[in-house]
Amino acid sequence: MVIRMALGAMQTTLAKVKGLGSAHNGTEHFWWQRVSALALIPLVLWLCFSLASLGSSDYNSVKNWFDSIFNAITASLFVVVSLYHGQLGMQMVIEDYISQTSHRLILLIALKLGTVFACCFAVFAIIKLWTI
Amino acid sequence: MAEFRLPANSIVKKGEAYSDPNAKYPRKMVIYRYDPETTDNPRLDSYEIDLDHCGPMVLDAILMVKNEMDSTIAIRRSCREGICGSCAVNINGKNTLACTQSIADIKGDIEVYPLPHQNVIKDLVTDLQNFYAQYASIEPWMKVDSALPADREYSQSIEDRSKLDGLYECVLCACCSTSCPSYWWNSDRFLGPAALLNAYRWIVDSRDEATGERLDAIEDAFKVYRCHTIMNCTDACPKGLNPAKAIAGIKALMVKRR
Ligand code: SF4
Ligand code: SF4
Ligand code: FES
Repeated sequence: MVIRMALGAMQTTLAKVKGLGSAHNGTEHFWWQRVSALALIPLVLWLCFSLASLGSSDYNSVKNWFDSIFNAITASLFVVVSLYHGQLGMQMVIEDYISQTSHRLILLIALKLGTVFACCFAVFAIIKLWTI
Repeated sequence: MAEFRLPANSIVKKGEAYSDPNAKYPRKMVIYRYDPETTDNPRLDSYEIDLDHCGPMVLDAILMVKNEMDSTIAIRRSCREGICGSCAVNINGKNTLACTQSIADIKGDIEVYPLPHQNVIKDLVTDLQNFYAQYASIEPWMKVDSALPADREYSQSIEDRSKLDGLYECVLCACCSTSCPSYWWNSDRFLGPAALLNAYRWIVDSRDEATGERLDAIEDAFKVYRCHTIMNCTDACPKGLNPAKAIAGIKALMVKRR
């Protein structure tokens, strides 16, 4: 990167445009962003339905509701898929607007690690509700 | 970072006003003026033109101003009929060819700016080196390894030929790319709608034997996937082409060969 920038002024425009060539990436991101969006349709419907049916229930009835393995698994799925989908979108925003390579890299790493942490945290919370 | 605060010399000031007291059908035209070789800020000069002896298109009006009122205006043009693609400017907020934009279709003053987000060489002339290099980078020529057929022609069915309709007509005016927000932020790496439409023109050409290599060369989070289907490109194209659809076609092929 540094070498390329040092030579930058002497390069032709075509050399600059070709840059380091194609990284052969992006298609997986494009594909999974759409697949996760599709998966979120039933999950969000389920969430709305569940929230409506739980209404203003107290702590114990919510806990009982989480005792159902179906509810616990679907709630975990919702959290994981929505966080996964969200971080794919955030990655796009960062790549679009943060052009300084070092800043971009730091934000992308923070985003990926933060998402893994949030997933573990949420799933653990659901498991805990389910076991106590 | 995207730059949200603009440099001081980018503030556009009010410029000179030229009027024509004898005009039979006066119409006000505002033109962006900037010469980066001076320290002056850009300015908007206004010209009162007489539609009575002016051709029907915005380019006619600009040339009339240049010939009769102010010869210092810089504009690029050649064919004056929408074929060479050199007169692309921003007219009343929309990128288009000045030679095919009719004055009658414009309400109010005619406002002419250079193509957005490109370095200005002078007035309405922008530096399109990067844009042309992006076109060159997609290697816009037919690549064939097979021996030339005996009749010296690579045949193509009528059906396959029709796949090039809506692609081959591109005149490389840059109206699309310079209207694309993704291109504004990342034109150093994103190829932009014009180069990608032309890449697709060769990718879907049944006679070309480098389809896979062509896809390889642009399969990249920045070269292609900066396109978020905002559709400004399609809205801007003065030739009525649909670069957004061509890019969607490229993405579909990339998914297909995963
Ligand atoms: S569809 Fe893609 S290329 Fe066209 S304006 Fe939108 S982001 Fe740019
Ligand atoms: S696709 Fe249309 S707007 Fe874009 S360069 Fe070609 S002719 Fe111009
Ligand atoms: S002058 Fe050739 S396209 Fe307008």
